[in-house]
Amino acid sequence: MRRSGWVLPGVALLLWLAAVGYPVAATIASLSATPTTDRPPHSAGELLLITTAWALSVALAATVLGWIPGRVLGRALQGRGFIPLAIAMLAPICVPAYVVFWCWWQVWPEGSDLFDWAVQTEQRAQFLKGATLLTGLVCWSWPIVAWCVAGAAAATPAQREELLRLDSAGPVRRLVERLRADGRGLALGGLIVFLVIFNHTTSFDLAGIFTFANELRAADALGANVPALLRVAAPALGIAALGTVIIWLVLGGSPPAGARRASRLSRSALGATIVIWLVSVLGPVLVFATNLGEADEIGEFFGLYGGAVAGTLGVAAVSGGLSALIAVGLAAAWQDHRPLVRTLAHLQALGWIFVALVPGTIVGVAMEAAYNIPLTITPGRTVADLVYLTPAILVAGYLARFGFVAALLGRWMAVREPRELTALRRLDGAQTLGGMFASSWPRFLAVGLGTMAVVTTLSLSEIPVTARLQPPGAGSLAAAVLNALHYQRPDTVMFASLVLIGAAVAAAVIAVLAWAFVRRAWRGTTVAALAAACLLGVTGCDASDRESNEPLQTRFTFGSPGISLGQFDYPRALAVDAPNQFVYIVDKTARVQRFGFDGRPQLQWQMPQRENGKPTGISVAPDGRVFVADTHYQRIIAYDSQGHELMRFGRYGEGPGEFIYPTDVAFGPDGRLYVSEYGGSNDRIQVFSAEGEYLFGFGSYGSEVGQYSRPQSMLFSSDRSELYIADACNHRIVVVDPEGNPLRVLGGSGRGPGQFAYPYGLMGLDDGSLLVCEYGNNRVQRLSPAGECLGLFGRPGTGDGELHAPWAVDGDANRVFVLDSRNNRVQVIRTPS
Amino acid sequence: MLLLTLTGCGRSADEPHVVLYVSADEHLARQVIREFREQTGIRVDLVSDVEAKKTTGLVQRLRAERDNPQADVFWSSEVFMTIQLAEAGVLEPYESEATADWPSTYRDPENRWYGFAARARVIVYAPDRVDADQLPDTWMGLCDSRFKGRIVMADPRFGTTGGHLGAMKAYWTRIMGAAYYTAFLDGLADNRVRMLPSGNAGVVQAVARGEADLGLTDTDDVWAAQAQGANVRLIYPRHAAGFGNDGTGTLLIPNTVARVAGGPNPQTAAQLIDFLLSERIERLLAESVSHNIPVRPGLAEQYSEYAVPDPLHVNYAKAAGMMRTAVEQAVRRLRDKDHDDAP
Repeated sequence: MRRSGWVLPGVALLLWLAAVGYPVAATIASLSATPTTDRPPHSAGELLLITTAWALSVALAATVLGWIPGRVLGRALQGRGFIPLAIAMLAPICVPAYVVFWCWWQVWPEGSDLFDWAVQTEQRAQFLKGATLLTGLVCWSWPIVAWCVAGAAAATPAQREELLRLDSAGPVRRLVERLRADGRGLALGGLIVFLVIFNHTTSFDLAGIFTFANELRAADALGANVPALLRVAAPALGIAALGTVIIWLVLGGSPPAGARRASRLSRSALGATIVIWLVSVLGPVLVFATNLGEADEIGEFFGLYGGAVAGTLGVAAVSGGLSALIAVGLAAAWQDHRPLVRTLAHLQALGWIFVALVPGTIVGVAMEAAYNIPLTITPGRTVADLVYLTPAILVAGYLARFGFVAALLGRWMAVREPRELTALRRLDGAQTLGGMFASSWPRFLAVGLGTMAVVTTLSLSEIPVTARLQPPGAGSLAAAVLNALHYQRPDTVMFASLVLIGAAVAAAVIAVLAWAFVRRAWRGTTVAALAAACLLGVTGCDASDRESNEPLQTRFTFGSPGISLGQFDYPRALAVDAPNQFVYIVDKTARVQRFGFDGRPQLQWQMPQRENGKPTGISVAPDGRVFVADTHYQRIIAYDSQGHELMRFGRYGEGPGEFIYPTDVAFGPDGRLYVSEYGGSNDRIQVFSAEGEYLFGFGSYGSEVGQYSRPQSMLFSSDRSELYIADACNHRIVVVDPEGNPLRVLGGSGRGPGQFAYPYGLMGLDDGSLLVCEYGNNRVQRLSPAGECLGLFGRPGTGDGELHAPWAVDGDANRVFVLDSRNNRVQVIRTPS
Repeated sequence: MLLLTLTGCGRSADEPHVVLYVSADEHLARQVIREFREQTGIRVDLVSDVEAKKTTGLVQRLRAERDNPQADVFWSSEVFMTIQLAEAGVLEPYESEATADWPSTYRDPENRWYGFAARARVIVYAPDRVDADQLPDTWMGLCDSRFKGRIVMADPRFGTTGGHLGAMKAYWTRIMGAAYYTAFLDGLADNRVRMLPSGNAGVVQAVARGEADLGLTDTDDVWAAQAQGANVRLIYPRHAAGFGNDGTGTLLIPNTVARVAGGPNPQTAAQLIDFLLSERIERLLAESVSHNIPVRPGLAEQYSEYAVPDPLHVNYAKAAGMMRTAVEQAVRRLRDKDHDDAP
């Protein structure tokens, strides 16, 4: 990593130290004082029970209510219509819980039938208030569960659902299976809701219910010192620590293998989601809207609170901006190749999550212990003057409370980055700041904006830390709402809430649009293109290789973007039938097209299924049969040259003869079929008889000799004594004998001659040399059988002779067809001699 | 701009300003400081308290800052904790033309605080559920078993409730003997009085919404609820059976204003204190939704509809001194019902 590569992880670490590390240390250091009180608060045990009961009830109800919307959201995240759904489910979380409760409370104003029923007896009235509180908190918190379930649903193999459908499984079995599939998301969501409600104070204040967090705040307000407070807070701290570990374990588990593709969205689930949303979110908003005051009162509100609104927004926005830096900084750290840097990122994330789960009162106390100190740093200015008595202390407090958002989104960003891209950056040997931006900017932007939006909004409505640390003149909108609630100034409550709700909706829109943007950007821009951007030297990556690569000496090209005959939609596999002068190409429409050597299209046929994904491998047997690796359907299908199916074999699984993602077929001695595949731990080669009977297999996932990481294509030497395997994600060509015994390894990761970046396609030349098509280096390389570079052809780009993410190469003694995948064309060059 | 916000440098340090800690209604406070700025050009940097720990939070903050004061002026919505701060050395004496003729009842003998714009401690009740002739005359009347399970009160550790308990303990100890206060708490406990964490406004809300029939609260909360259309009324209970104007009646709790000892802006602080003690502000508070009761006799007459029939004669300082034990006793008796609370 060059020096600038440290910047982002370094900034994240510094902010962590300022908001978490140092305050925690300062708090521990102040434990040596004598506690101001030696006894727990009154009824501590009873309060713990009451609080736990409330938190459990809300968490259970929110889990039940958020399940179906979570499944719907999970589907939508991968398909169309996710923008409105995601906004609808993000905005409610950003509105303060107490505002949601207050809105629900207005549903039964004085004079309403419900009110008249309730005031008959005190039991009814108390029951109704409790029910209203439960409703308000559940309505506020179920979207948290929904997002957790959506995350899990996005990682659930679609096959499981489809198999159940095919098996005509009964409703109970389907329910159980769904519960198993979504269990992780449900558990995570329920746990988070439990912890949040456990520490929540304001709604309980309004509802007149004593909870553990109220008591903690009371102890603080009454002047308990740090040791006394921590003694009171011990149960909450224990729960926070336990929660942190569980959350991290749930987040850290690997998702089940298989296609992460959404199954169909059921109409009933969508309908249920809409109903839940309308009742729980739109309902209170409508109540709110009907109570809105007159326009002149709005003017009065902003006249009095304008400064507080601006100050609150300013401090919240700074917190949001810094959180964005934390998110991308942590993501950069997680993508680093050194275990130490990644471990540091893990520790920071654990710290962020733990502090977020600690009661806000304790966070405020810790900040004071850390920064309210008379240590002089510049003449006449102390730490307290510069931090504690300025809005900086609020920013630190907000970061402590909401930095977990940055940690979670940063983690998401790091995990979701394609392995190829991370590897390519490392491959370049320079993880510079600019290089990271050039190759990851869509994600940086999405995660940065998303984090900023969410943290800004959460900060706007933060109460415990604000109330404790608010410096003179800063003003707090959330405190204004609470005070107005107390002094029964509904207009102020409504206008201040309006600002908070507006901010919540704006945050949701920004976060979701950022995500939408990145999805679009990601679709239009391939990993290879981003890697190319890095290579092209936007950023200080070494661009010298580019100059050494000449463009291809293209004789002619054929193909263009489109779905008609002769056009391509991201073609990913090509094979040549030299005796018959056919070129077969399969693309993302799951069509196999046959061309003549002159580039004229001759015919096309459709693969039997395409919903799960499209084939990435095609080969022509010596007898002219066309073998398609139907990657996402776990099978090999053989056709004649007219597209008539001749045979098929393989099914989903990790056992002998089963596949996860088959990539290519090679034709060995005695008519044996060698099939390469990847996915799960199935990065291996399996050998079948000419009839498709399983014979044996070799290889496993890994980077050692005898291990493979996405073997993308294979080629037998002309005498069939050696099998060349393009071990794509290990950036090497492995040569084995027909029994699978490794003979030698060619290349290794890099940009230079004799090195590879994602070797995807192989072609043998008559002289025994090899053409290797490099997806990551956007070139074709000629190698001697010993691995010596004999020539480099092509360079990144879209112009003549330039390549954009090439997947395959094949040809005969006179011509080579290079599948220029992202440019949706085939470039034909003279076969090197 | 964000950096400016962060470091608080957006406001000029040279601009004349004053730091005000206020536990009174923030809405009113903002109106007041806006007017103050218009008149004097002095910027007021405000720190308000959230309701749940009303006043107590700011008081702790002022205590914590005693060696390095950040506030110039403390405007509290009550008097008892102001007295405790004065005793702790947090406040300093202040005198000016505006304070010269201040009524002695509402000022510290050492001039460390001045009281203005008072509220009264009252019982709020639901007229549709409590007959007027059943209402208690005195606070002790709440111990009548006919009110069992029907009364709410605020957590006395915060707000005016604690001060009121201190005043009760101080007054009753002097007049009736120490056991009277304990008997009162026993009566409340027997009647299963519910304590709420939501302050005196929460008490009024609970009565308005049918969760209780009576509650211990302040006048301003009742007036505010009535202004919002809540069907609640109040009575002015006495602390001892008495007749007429003999000083055994209802407790008045004034707002207080004080200058913080060693505050960074003593000059502007003086201007703000004089402004807060002006007739204009008492009038503003009397006309506000809180309908505070002016302490200026002449002004009080103009707002006679909010006058308290027979204000309790109590030494605020003694009440403040007893507050802590009174509150602890009450909390133990009413929340920790297992505790035997023998004095």
